[in-house]
Amino acid sequence: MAEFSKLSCKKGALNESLAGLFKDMLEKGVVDAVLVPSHQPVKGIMQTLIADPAKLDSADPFAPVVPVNSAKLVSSLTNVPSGRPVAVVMRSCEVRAFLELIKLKQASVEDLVLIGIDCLGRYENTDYLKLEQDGVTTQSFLEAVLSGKGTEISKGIDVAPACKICEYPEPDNVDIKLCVIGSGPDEVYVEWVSEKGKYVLDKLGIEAGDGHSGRDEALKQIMSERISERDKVFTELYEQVNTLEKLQEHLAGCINCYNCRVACPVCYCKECVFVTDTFRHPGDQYMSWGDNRGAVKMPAETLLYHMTRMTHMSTLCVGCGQCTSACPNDIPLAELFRSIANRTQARFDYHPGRSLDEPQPLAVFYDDELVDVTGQVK
Amino acid sequence: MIEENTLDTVLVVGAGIAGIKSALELAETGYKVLLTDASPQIGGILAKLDHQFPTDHCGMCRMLPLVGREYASQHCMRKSLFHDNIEILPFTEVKSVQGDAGAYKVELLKRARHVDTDVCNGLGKCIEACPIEVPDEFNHGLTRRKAIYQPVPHNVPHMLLVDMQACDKCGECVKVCPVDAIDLEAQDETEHVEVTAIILAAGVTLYNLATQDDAKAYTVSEDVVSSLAFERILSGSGTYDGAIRRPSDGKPARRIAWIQCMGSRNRRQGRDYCSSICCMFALKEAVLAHEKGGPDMETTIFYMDMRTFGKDFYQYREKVEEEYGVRLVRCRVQGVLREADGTLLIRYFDPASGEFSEDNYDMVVMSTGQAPFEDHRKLAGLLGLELSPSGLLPTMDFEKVKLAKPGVFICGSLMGLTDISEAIASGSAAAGEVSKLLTSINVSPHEEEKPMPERPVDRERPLVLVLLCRCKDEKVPEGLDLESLGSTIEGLNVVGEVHVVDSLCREEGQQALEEILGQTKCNRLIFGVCLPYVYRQKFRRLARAAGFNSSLVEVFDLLGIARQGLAEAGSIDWVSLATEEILANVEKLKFAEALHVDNLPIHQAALVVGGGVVGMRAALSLAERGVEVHLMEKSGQLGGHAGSELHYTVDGLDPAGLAAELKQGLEEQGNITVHLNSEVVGTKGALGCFSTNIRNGDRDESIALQHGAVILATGGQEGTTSEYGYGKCEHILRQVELEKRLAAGEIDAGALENVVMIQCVGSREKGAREYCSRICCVAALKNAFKIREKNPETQIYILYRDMMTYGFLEQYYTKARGEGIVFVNYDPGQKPEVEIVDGKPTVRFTDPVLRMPFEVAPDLLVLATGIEPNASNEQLAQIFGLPLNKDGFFIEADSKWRPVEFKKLGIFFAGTAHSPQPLNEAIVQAEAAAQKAYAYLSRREIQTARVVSKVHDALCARCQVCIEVCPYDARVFNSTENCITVNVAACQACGICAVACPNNAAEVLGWNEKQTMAVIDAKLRGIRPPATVG
Amino acid sequence: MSDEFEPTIVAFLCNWCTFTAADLAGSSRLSYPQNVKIIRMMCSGMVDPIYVLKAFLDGADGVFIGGCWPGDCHYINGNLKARRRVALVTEILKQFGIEEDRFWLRWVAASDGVMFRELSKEMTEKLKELGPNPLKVNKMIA
Repeated sequence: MAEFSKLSCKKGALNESLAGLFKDMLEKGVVDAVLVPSHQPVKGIMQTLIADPAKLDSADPFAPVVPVNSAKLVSSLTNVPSGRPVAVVMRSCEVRAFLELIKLKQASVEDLVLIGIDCLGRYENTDYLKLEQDGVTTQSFLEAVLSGKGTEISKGIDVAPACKICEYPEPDNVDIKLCVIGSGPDEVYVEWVSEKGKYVLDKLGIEAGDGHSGRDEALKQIMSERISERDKVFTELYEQVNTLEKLQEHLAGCINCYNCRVACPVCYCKECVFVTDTFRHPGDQYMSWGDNRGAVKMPAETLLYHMTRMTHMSTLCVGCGQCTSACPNDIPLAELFRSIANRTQARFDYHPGRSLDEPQPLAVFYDDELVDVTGQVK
Repeated sequence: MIEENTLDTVLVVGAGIAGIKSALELAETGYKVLLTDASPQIGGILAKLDHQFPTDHCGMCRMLPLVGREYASQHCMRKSLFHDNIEILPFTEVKSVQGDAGAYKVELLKRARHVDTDVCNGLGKCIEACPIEVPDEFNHGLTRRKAIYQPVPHNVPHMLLVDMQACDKCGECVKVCPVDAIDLEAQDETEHVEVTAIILAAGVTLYNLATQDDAKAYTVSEDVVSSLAFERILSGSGTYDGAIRRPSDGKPARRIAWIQCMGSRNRRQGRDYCSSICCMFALKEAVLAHEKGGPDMETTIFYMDMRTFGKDFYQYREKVEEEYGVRLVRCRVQGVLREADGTLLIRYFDPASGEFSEDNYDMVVMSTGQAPFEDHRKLAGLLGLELSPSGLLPTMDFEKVKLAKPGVFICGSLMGLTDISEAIASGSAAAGEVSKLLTSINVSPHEEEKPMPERPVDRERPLVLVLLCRCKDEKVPEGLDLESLGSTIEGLNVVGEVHVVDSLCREEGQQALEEILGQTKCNRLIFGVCLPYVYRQKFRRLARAAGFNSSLVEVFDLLGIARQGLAEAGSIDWVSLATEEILANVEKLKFAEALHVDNLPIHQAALVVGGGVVGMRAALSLAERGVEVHLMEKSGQLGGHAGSELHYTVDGLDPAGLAAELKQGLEEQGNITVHLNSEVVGTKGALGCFSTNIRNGDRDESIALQHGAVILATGGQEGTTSEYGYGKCEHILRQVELEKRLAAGEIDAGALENVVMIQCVGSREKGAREYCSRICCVAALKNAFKIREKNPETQIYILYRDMMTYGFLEQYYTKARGEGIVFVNYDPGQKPEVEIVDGKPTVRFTDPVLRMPFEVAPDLLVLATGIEPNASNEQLAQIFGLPLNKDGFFIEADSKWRPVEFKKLGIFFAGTAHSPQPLNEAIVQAEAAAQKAYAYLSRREIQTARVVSKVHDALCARCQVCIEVCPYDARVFNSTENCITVNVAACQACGICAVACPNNAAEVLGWNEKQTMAVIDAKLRGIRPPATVG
Repeated sequence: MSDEFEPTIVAFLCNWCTFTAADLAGSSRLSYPQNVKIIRMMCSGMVDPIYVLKAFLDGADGVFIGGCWPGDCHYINGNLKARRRVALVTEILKQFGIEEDRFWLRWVAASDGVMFRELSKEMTEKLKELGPNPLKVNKMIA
C-alpha cells in the first residue's frame, strides 16, 4: 500500500522542509504536538515535544545522535494516555523498543502518529557535541555518509558500535517514513505506510507518487555491509567471552552502577530488583561469603546482575547500544548483550519489534514444544 | 487430632480414592472423619497405578483441598495423606453397627500389624533379617517380599506389618529391631465409636486369574498376566524398573496382546455386567507399551465392544489407533496356547478377512474385570442390606449414592463399577448427602480453629532455636552424635539456643518442649526429627500453642539424612550433612516473616444456571443446607429435557415424575428464587463474591445477583441429522421422537412388523459429533423393549458399532439378545444404506459374521442421533471465562480428579454441560457440584492459606505478565485503582507469577527470592568456590 | 584429577513429584549420590533463573531441576513454563562455557525413585567427565 511523496526541498534546506511538514500537521490540526529531535538553546540535541508551530525551526529529525532511546520518552508520554494526537519521530531501534513496551503495557499507540526516519547511525553524545562545534551538520553528515565516505567524518570520531552492526537502517511498523537513503538530504521522500499515514496524507492534501528508484539498491548495500560487520562482531565476541572467567574480564570495569539498565529501553521495571531489598544483604551475609570463599569482590554479584539481566531482557533487546553509551567505564555492553540476544531470540524465533501480535517469549508457553530440553519421552 | 466420640464424626469405610475423596470433602467442610480400610494401607487399586489416562501419568494430588491447605498434607498422595479432621485407620474392619441415622454405634476391629508404626523408624533391618520370602501381592507375585514387609513400598511413614500366614515367629526381626517396635504376640483390638453417618466405599477387587476356572484356558504361562500386573511391570517402582519384560525369562517383550472382558460380560459365570474400565485401561496400557517399548513394539487388543463411552474416550481411542498403530480386533478369543519357543499363540476369527487367523505374542495381558469383594456380603449383612445378584450393594432408583438404610451412603465402585472421575464425583456426592443429613439434625461443621495469639516478633532480630530429637539412642545411626552436632551449630550465626530433647514425639518429650518454648528468647524454631511427613503438622501445632507463628517454624528430617547416608556405607560425615541441612533452614527462617491467614468473606448464595433435573437437584441440595439459591432457566418452565422429552428409563423409572418431584421440592424450599426466561449477560468478581447480571426476556429487565459460587447445569438436547433419509419420510424417526410417540400412544405397535434402529448416527465420526454420546445404546434398548412390550411379534434390528452398555446396563443388552432382538455390527466404512421406496424406507446392510447382505423394509427406521451440548455454553464460557472443548462441552479442571470443577475457583458444573450421561449419573454430579460449592458457602468467611502470592505495589510496573501466566486466574488488574490484586483463596502459591515478574513485585510469601538464595548459599557453603561472587 | 573430584549438584525439586521420588530413593535405600544438594520447591515453575545462575556462580558444578511430567503438574502447567525458562537460561550458560550437561531439567514421577537415583548418578558421572565448575578451576579474583 506504500505511497511516496517527494518533499520538495531546495539544496541544504532539509530541516526547513521537514519543519514545514510538521508545521502543516499542527496547523491542519492533524496532531496537537510533535515529538522530534531538536536543537537546544545553547547546544546539543534532545527529543522535544513541540506544540507551537513557531518553535519547529529548531527541529532536526535526522541529527545523528540519540541522547535517550525515545521508546522510554514516548512511554512516559502515553503510559497514561493524554487522549490528544501526537506525532513522534523515531528511528528503528526506538520504534522496535516502543512496540515491546506496548506489549508490556508500559505505553500505548492510540494517540500517536509514528514517523520513522532512515538511520545511518548515531554518535555518542560527547562526540556529537564536538562535531557540532566543528560545524558538522546533519546535512553534511548525510551527504558524506550517503556519498559513501563512511561514518568516521572527523578524525577518530565514528558512530556508535551498535549502529555499525544494526540491520535496521529503515524503520518498520510506523505510519509514515522519512526516507533519505537512496536519494540524499536534498531529496527527502515521505512514505505513507499505514491507514493512519494515509489519513494524514489526505489531511495535508499531499499528492502521492513513486519513490526514489535507487532506494532499494542503496538499502541493500547498507544492510549487507552492516550484516557482515555484525556477524564479524558476533564471532569475535562469542570467542571473547566463551567462559565465565572471560565474561568477568569483559565486565572488569563494572562498578554496579546499573546505568546500563537505566538506559535500556526495554528494562521497564519501576525499580530494578538489584536495588531492592532482595539484594540489600545484612552484613553477616557478606561475612559468611568471606568465610566461605576467603575473599569477596565488592561491590558483589556483578556477574549475577548482568547474567540475570540477560535472562530478563535479552529476548527483547533491540540492539540500540544505549547500555554502552551509558556505561561510565566504557564496557562494550551493546556487543555483549546483542550477541546473547541473538542466541536467545533465535531459540524462540522471536524478533522484538517485528509485530505487535507476537507474544513475548516469557509470557507464553505451549504443550508440545522444546521437547529437546529434557529429551525425555514417556 | 480427634476427640473421642465427637458428635459430628462420620465413618467412611474403605480408603480407596472414592472413600478418600468423600473423607476429604467432609473434612474440608469442617466435619471430623474416621477413615478405615480393611487392607493394611490406603489408596485402594490406585496405589498400584502409576499411570492414568489421559495424561498417562498420575495426578492424584489434585484431589487435595484447594482451600484450607493449611489443614491437609501438601505432598504426593500416593506417599501418604494427612488432614487435621481425618483419622485414618488402616487394617480395620467394621464388626457391628447399631443405632440409626444421626447416632450409629460402630464396633471396629483393628487387626494387629505386629509393628508399632509410631515407633518404627523404617530403617528396615527387620526386613533384611526376616528369613521368609513369599510372593509380593503389590507386584502381583512378580516380585517377592518378606514375612515382615511394607505393603506399599512408596508409603511414608513406613507402614510395616507382619504377615502372620507367612511368619513362623522365628523372632529374628524382633532381635534386630533397634526400637522394639515389633510384637509378634500382638492381638487384634476392638474399638467402639459413635458416628452420625456412614459412607461405604469398600470398592471392588479385580477378577483373579489364579483362582477362577474360566481363566484356565488362557493362563497357560507366566507371560499371561492381568492388566493390573502389567501396570506393575510398567511402573518405575515396579518389577523391572519400568522396562517391559516377560516374567518367564525376563526377556524384553516386543509383541503384546490384550484380551478384553476377562471375568466380565459372562452370564454363565454369573457376571452379567461390564466392568466399564477395562477398555480404556487396555488402550492406555497399549500406549504406554509403545512409549516404553520403543519403535518395534507391536500391540493388539482383542475385544467384543470397544466401550469408549466416557468424555473424550473415543477421541483417545482414535489417537491410540492412528498415532500408535495399536491394532484393535473385534472377536472373542477362545484361548491361548503356549508354543515350544515360549511364545503365546492366539487363534481368532478375524472379521476383516472373514477367516480364522493366528498370531504369536511374547506376552498376553488379560483385561480382568472389576469384581466384588467377599467381605461385601458381611458388610451388607451388618447393615441389614441384601446384596444384588452381582454381589454389590443395590442403590435406590435415581439415587446412586443412597441406600435403603437411612444415614448410610455409598460411593465408588461398590455402588456400580466406576472409573476414577465417577468415583471422585460419587465421593463428593456421598459427602454431600451426609452433610445434608447432618444439617437436618442440626449438627454443624466445626468452626476453623481461630488463629492462636502470637508473640509479635517482627521487630526482633531473628534468633533461631534448634531442637534435635533423640528418641531411643539406637534409632540414631552410629556416628550421628547429637551433642557434637549441637555444639557445631550453636556457633552458627542467628542460632540462639540448641536443645537435644528425648522423644519429642512422646508425652515426656512434649513437656520438655513446652518448658523450653515457655522461656526461650528465640523467635524462630527448627525441629530436627524423623518423618516430617508425619510430624510437621504436629510440631507446628505445638509451636502455635506456644505462640510461634507456623511460618517461623521449620521441621526437617534428621533421620532421613541419617537413613540416606546409611546406604552409602558409612562414608559420610553426618555432622556436616546435618549441619548443612540445619544451616539451610536457619537461612530460610532468617528471612522469613510471620505470615497470617486471611479471612475471605463469602457471600453465602449460589447461582445455578439451568432449570433441568440437574440444576434443580443442585439448587435443592444447597437450599436444604440453608444456602440462598438463585436458579436460572432460559425457557419459560423448569424440568428441562427429562421433564419434557423423557418418559421412561430402561429400568422402568419415571424421569418426568422425577422432574415434577424436584419442582415441587423447589416450591417448598423457602430460600430458592427461580428466574424463568432469564439469561446471564455479564459477571464480575471471583470466588466468594461474584456479582452477576441476568436479563429477563419477558419483562426485558436486568437484575444484579450477589453470590459466592456458580453451578452450570446447561444440559443439552438430542442432535439432528440429514443422513438415512431423515426428514424425507414419516417412517424415519429419531429415538427421542419414537419415545414421545410410544408414550403418547401415537404408535400402533400392533402394526409394527419390522423396526430397524441405527446407532451412532452423525456420531463418532470426523467432521460430525466426534464423541460418543454414552446414552444412545441404552435408549435404543429401552424403546425396543417398549415396542416388544406392546407387540412381542415385532422384529427389531439394532445396527450398532459398539454397544455401550457399560456396568450393570449390560444385563439389558443380554436380555434384549435373549428376547431375539437382532444386533448387527456395522463398520463406519460400510454404513447401512437407506432407500425410500414408495414412502417406506428400505435398509441394506451386511452381516459381519455371515458376511451376507441383508435387506429390510421396516415400518419404522429409528435413528440414534446422539446428544449435543447446549448452544448457550459458548456465551456462558465467554462471560465466565471458562474453556469449552471442540465439541462444545465445558472442560473440567482435571478430567479425573476434579471432574465437576473449573480451574477458576468457585465455579462448578454438572450433567450434560460436562458430557452426555444418564440421569442417575448426572444426579451424582449435581450433588458433587453442590457439595463442592457448599464447602465454600457453608461459612461466612473462609480462612485462606498463609502461603499465598502478594503484590508489592510500589515495585509493580503493571505489565500484567503475572496475570497472563497465573493458572488459577487468581490475579486481576483493577483498572479503577490501577493496581494488581490477588484473590487469596484462588491463589495456590505455585510461584509462577513470582518467576514471571522480573523485580519480585510479585512474590510468594514464605518462598521469597532472598530466602531461596540464602538457602543456595547454605547448601554450597561447604564447597569453597572461587573468591568471586561474580 | 577427576578421580578425586566429587561434583556438587544443586537440585531444585518439585515438592509433588521429584522431591517425593528423591525421598523414596532415600528411604527405600536406593540412595542417590551425596553430591546432590536438594532444595525443595513447590513447583519446577517456581525455580527462578536467578537461582540457577547463583548456584553456578557460587561454584556448583551442576544444577538439576526436577519437575512433573507434562500433564501432571499439580499446578496445571508450571512445569511447561519451567521448560521455557530452562531453554532460555541454557542458551546463556552455553555461551559462557557452562556446558549443557551441567544444567538439567528432567521429568521424574513421584513413584520413580529409581529414575531419580539413576539420573543423579548419570549427571554425577557426566560432571566427573566435565570436571569442576570452570570458576573453581581458574581461581580468579575479581
